[in-house]
Amino acid sequence: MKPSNFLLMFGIAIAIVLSVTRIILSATFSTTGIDLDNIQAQTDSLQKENMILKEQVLSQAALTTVAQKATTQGFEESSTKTQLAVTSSHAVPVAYKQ
Amino acid sequence: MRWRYLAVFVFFIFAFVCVWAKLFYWQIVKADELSALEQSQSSLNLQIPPIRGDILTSDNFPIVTNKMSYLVYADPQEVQNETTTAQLLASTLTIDVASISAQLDQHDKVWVPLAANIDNTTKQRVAALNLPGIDFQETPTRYYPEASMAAQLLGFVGKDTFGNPKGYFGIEGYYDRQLRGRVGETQIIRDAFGKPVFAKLVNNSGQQDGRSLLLHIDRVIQFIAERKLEEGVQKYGAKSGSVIVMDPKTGAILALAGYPTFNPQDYWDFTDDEYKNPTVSNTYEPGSTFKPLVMSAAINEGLVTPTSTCPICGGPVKVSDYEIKTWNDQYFPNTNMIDIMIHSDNTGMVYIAQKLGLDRMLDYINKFGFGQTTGIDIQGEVAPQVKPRDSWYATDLATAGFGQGIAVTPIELIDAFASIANNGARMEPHIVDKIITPDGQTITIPPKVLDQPISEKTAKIMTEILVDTTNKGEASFARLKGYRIAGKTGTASIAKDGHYDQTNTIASFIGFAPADDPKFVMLVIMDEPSVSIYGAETAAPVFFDISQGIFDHYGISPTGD
Repeated sequence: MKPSNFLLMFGIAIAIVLSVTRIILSATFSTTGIDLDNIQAQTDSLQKENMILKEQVLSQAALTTVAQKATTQGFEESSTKTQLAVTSSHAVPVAYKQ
Repeated sequence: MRWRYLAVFVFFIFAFVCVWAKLFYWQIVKADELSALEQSQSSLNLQIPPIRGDILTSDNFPIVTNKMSYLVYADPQEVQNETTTAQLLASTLTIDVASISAQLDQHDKVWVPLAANIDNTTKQRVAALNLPGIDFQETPTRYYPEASMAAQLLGFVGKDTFGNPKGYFGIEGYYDRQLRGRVGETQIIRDAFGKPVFAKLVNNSGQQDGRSLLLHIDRVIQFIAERKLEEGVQKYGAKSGSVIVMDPKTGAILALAGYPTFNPQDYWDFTDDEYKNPTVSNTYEPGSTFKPLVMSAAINEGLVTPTSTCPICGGPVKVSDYEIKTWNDQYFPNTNMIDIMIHSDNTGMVYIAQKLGLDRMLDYINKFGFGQTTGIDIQGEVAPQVKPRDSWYATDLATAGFGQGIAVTPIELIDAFASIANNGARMEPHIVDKIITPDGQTITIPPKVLDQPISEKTAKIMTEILVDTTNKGEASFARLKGYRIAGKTGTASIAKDGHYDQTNTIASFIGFAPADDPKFVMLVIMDEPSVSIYGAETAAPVFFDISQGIFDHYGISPTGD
């Protein structure tokens, strides 16, 4: 085959291969937008859920909440200095065996 | 025959010229317009708002963070049964039916707001009603898990003139640029179904979330200070009160409380006066809490020692046309410096001030930081001016000796006083410890020494005098036995319209502990207490109450007096 004919055939073959490849890739990627949208929606939903849960956790962990709950459950602030009071009726052992 | 060929040729040339002309028109002349049309049809320009940074207390608890809130809106043209819709929404949102009906009645509009800042639970309840024409818009808002704790320190987030979030007052105002981040823009290319095209994904230009702040504020100490302050203000019938707790060695602010305060979640329900932080924005004459600074100056200059005696303390002291008396009209001839402080003897302080002289007095006032802002990182700090030298009279020097005739802010006073607890070095007060970038890097703000007004030796001498003052002075009945606390009471007259109020005072107590290795310095102020006007009987008990809480929190045991 003449070199010029070979080059021509080669060029046509390359053009056909690249065109087919482009068609295949475009077709593949054309539907990824749907997946991307779904992923984005899922990410948004999880972020919102995370934010709501964080709000609930922080609300429960707040000192003001803990103090209010302590008051409603009958805890009172000690007016005297902190001291250990043993109220058990059993004798207190001198030392606990580890 | 030849003319037929020519005619066909001309016709084809003409046809091609027409095609070229049309192509030129669409591709060159109309290029921009068509490009814009294509952009609007297939692409979407979005603004990406930044997430505002969190504010964390020293234990990494987010005292200010963000949450999702919702705006409920309606399309009046889509709403089917206005009366039923309004009633259902009113009962679910607990707002007036009439206001909802008025909004739904605007049939010329396609978007009307109904309720803002709705939480997720309420939003779910409204969504469950399945009302046509009703929808939601997400808006991130600030969330305060500890409610109004440290409100005057934190400030709040409102809107600027363009409707963008902006911090006002406190930390939110001072660090607004760090917290707010940067808005970005992105372009999304969409296919014919409106789905994003994967191959041409976003270019995120410039969006950056805000930086977070880690504070020195100790949440437990802040909680204790606020609770005890509120109890104290109510118990002693004061108009208001404030507390500052600071680490004297670093200037770190551990707690900063004011009462009354406001709720930053509903800041619009409060007035400007309630937003202001009184510890940096209010000025007052400090009274006897200023005496340790004057005595320190005299000791530092070698003018007096703890055992030096006062030759003029046998009775009232005459200065120009005025007679200066002690607070209780009791006099101690030849009293020494320690007893002057224990008895809070005004005549003794006049003696010291006169010995110091005006030039040295002004020099030490400057070194202790009065007349200039401390540099604390909170919006709203003021610095009352010290009178120029040629405006001082003999009476001004005398009264400055016991803290009258000179105006200070609470933060100025505690910052100056803290130098006694820190070997004479005055530190810059700071609320923020670290700035945290969105990608996790931290920028630490180091402690800063502002000045060395007194020597380490003077500081130690003054510390012992103040321990004696706490143990034997007017507030000794309320002190915590077993702890060495260096402190001083203050009962200052209030200057009003050119004279001093005869009935009301600003009562205060300032001190640090443990005296030998101070972990905190604290100032408690009661504004116009009505049960008793004296600092020893109002501010001092509050001070000791809070101190007990701090000792328990830090696990500091009594060491003996």
